[in-house]
Amino acid sequence: MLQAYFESIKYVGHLLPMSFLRIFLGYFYIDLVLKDWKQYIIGVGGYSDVFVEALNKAQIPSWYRLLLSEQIIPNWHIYAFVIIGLQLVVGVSYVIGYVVRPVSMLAVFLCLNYLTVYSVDREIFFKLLIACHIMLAWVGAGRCLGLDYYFFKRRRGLWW
Amino acid sequence: MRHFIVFVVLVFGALTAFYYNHGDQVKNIEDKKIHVYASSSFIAKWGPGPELKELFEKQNIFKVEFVEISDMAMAIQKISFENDASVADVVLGIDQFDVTRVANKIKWRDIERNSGVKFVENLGPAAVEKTFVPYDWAPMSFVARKSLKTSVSSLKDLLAPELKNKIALQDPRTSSPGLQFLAWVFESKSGEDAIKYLKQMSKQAHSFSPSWSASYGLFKNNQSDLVFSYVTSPVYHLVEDKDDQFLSIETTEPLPVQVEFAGIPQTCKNCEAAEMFINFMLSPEAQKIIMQKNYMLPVIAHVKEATAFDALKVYKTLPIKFYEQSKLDKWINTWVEIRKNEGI
Repeated sequence: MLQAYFESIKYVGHLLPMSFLRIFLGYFYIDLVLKDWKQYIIGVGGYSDVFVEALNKAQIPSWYRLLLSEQIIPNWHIYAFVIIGLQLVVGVSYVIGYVVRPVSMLAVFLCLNYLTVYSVDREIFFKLLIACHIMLAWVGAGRCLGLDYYFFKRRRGLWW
Repeated sequence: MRHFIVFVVLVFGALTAFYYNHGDQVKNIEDKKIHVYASSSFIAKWGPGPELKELFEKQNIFKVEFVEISDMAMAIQKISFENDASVADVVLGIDQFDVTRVANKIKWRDIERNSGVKFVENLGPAAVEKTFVPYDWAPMSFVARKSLKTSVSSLKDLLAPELKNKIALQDPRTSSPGLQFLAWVFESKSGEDAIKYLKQMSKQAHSFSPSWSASYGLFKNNQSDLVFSYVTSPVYHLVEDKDDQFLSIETTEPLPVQVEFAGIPQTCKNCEAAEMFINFMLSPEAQKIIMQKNYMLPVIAHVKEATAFDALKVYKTLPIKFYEQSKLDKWINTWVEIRKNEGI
């Protein structure tokens, strides 16, 4: 597996710049997990200011507002755990380059949520992030400097 | 697909195991910690927060953790949503308008004060308020440079043609000082006169900034000749900039007073420690820190003696009131109508 990891540079070296982007995004998500874990799970920040902001946002769809106020806010600690877990899945997957394609789709789903709840001034950032995730999924960024190359060599298919 | 599912399950499994292993340690730390919700200017390194925290932690076993709030209404909304899950033990920066406008959205604890705390006389009913404890205050007026050629000694003088577009004011919808000015006008003049005055004043205004700091920035950059601010602002320039060219204007109308309160939400986790923190804020040492860092007056007597604040004039002030929300809404709506008709 380790041999395949480095071998990938030789055979799919043209994906190397994408791998750097992937690893950087992985680091970004792991960093986010560390911050959110302290704030929401340990409980310092209690519950996210983002939701208060979101509920005061005029552009938010009414069904999403209902979901926030009826489901997510009353059970915030469970949802916070799930969100942090998903962020960790994205972070670890991007850093080691494992199951990058399906995880990218998961990351797009997370970003769509951020896009809805965060203030308008951060919209452009999340749109760019979505574009990055789609690019990573498109090229199969886990195949270079990632474990996906090992499985791709043996199994082929769309998952790697 | 199988790889993906196994990977997700593994990550969540590891996270759950980590959570259960560290939960007890976290609880022990949290038992000795109080969470204080305060504005960014209070907890900034140049604000009173860090010194208060250090002093309180020296005197007690409890640790203080500040949580920054950007807006009081949003902070209260957040505590209200969180309900029992809220970690807020103390909320700082509640002014007399917040007390009636937003604070009633959640339940607050009555605060037992240390015996022997003697509040300054100017605080009136604010000193005996059970659920909110005042920790600083200051009269508000217009601040100008000593070089200002126009003589101003009343609200009417502000309508002088030389001051057209030269006064920096705040938007009463978003700024507490802005609302103070509005309340001052309505308290000093009868209904129709107040509306007429506000109409004329809106021509004198350079702008209505969304916050006090934005309007004060305009004044400091010489874009306006006067700004509605705290009478303690000239002391700030004297101490920090060694500049004695600023003065606060005393008007024939008594000045409005801004008071900041601390409160303990009913959902507090370390309620007794929170009460200790608020009583600590009323100690002479803490009051001195708040005065010197926040540039507001202390709520207890004798603290400002032998400091730059001692030289401040004793201003004639309006009695402190907790206005009804309907009254405040009416004033704000009147102001909005006037601004609308001004075409802005």
